[in-house]
Amino acid sequence: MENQRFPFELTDEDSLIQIDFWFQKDKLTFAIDTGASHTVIDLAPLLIAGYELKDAVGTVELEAGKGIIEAYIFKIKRIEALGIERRDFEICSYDFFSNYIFSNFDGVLGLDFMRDHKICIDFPNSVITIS
Amino acid sequence: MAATIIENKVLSFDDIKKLYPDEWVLIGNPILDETPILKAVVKKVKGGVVLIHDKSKMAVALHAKEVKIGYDTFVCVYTGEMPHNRRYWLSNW
Repeated sequence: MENQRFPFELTDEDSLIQIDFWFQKDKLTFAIDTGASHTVIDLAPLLIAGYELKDAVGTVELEAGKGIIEAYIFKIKRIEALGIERRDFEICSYDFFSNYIFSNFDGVLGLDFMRDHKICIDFPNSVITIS
Repeated sequence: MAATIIENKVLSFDDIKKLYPDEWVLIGNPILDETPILKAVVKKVKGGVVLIHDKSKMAVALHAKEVKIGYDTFVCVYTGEMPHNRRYWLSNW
């Protein structure tokens, strides 16, 4: 696989790196979080994409800033971000809003999504390189 | 929760923000800025067809299935301002 470069935009010092995240036919916004073990998605976009709670393949406890959260696990047919495609990918989900999270992003891209790739975040040049 | 389902009409995102201020809108076949710079989808939306809108994102989500037929792609974005002066600690969200 050749190197792929993705310029990003940080509007101010409080900004996160927000990336395009294709969730089947829906374009979402995810924040990159190299400190998160797993990729997490808000329950709302998951329902919008056509999944239902009965599609969950299990539950898991997530240790979050506000304590332990019970999250659902879904097996997703196809997702894509940073030129990386995953099929039948297990992703954790819970309702962000009912857990006091109100933001423009729909989820967090964690290490489980990234771990097969070399990912370089070049902050001075605002570009992510995947190889 | 009773999200409002509306008629199909292509609108600019500026008009969408005026018509549905401080709401979550599900937009079908969105027109997006295709500049290859990673940023929030809300900053890329130029327009599209509002399929449903509500103050609650979950209300939009629960009714999305009814309104998505006939459209290929979707975005769900908030038309208002996000809180300022906020810093993030995401790990193990």
